[in-house]
Amino acid sequence: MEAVVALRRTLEALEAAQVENAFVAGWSWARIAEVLGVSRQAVHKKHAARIRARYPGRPPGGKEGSG
Amino acid sequence: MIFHRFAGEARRSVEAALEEARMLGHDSLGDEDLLLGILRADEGLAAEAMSSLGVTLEDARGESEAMFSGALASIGVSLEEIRREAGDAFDLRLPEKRRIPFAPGAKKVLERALSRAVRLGDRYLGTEHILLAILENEEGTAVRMLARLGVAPEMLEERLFEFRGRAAG
Repeated sequence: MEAVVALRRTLEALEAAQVENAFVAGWSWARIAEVLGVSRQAVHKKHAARIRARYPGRPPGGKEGSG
Repeated sequence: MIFHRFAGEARRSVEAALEEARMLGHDSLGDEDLLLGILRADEGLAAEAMSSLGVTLEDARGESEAMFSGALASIGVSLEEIRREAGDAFDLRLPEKRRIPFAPGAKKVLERALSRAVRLGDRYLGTEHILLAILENEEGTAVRMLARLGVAPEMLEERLFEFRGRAAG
C-alpha cells in the first residue's frame, strides 16, 4: 500500500517534469496533449501556469508554431 | 477541526509539519510529518528529548526519503532511474498553493494528544503530548522511522517523562 502512495506521488512529479522538459524542448501544448492522450485544455490547465512562471517570456511551442 | 485549540509550540510544530510534508512531497500529512515538524520547530520538551537520543531533523528526513524510495523499490521501481531520466525538472516537492490534508492517522494523533494532556492534568498542549500520541500509534510510519533511527518508543517516552520531571522540579 505504501508503494501505491509513493508511486502516485512519483507519477505526478514525473508528469510535471516531462511536460516541462517537452516545453523546454520546444513542443507545442497540442503535441504534449496528444502524446499524453488528454485534451490540450487539460494539459494547459494543469501545467501552463507553473511552467510559464518558471520560464517567463518564453513562447510555448517555439519550434513548431502555435500550440 | 481541533487545530484552533492549539497554541504556541504545539501549533508551530504542526505548521512546521505541513512545511515538511510539502518539502518531501507527501500529499497528505502523516504522523511522520508531525514528528518531523517537532524536530523542525525545535522547541519544547519533545524536540529536546529526541535530540538527547541523537535524533536529528536531517537523519529523520533521510529516513523518510529512504522509506519512500524503498516502497517504490519493493514494486520494482527505481526512483534513482526516474530522476536520471527526467533530470532537474523532476521535483517531488509540492507547490505552495497545494492544500495538504491531514491523513486519518495524523488526525487521530492530534486528538489523542489532547486527551493525553487532559489525562496528565496539563493545562496546555505541548509538543510532548503530540509526541506521546505519535508513539502510541505503533503501526504508524513515525514509529517505524524512529526504529530505523535506533529509537524504541519506550525509550523516548521514558526520556520525555524524565525531562518533564526535571522541568517541573
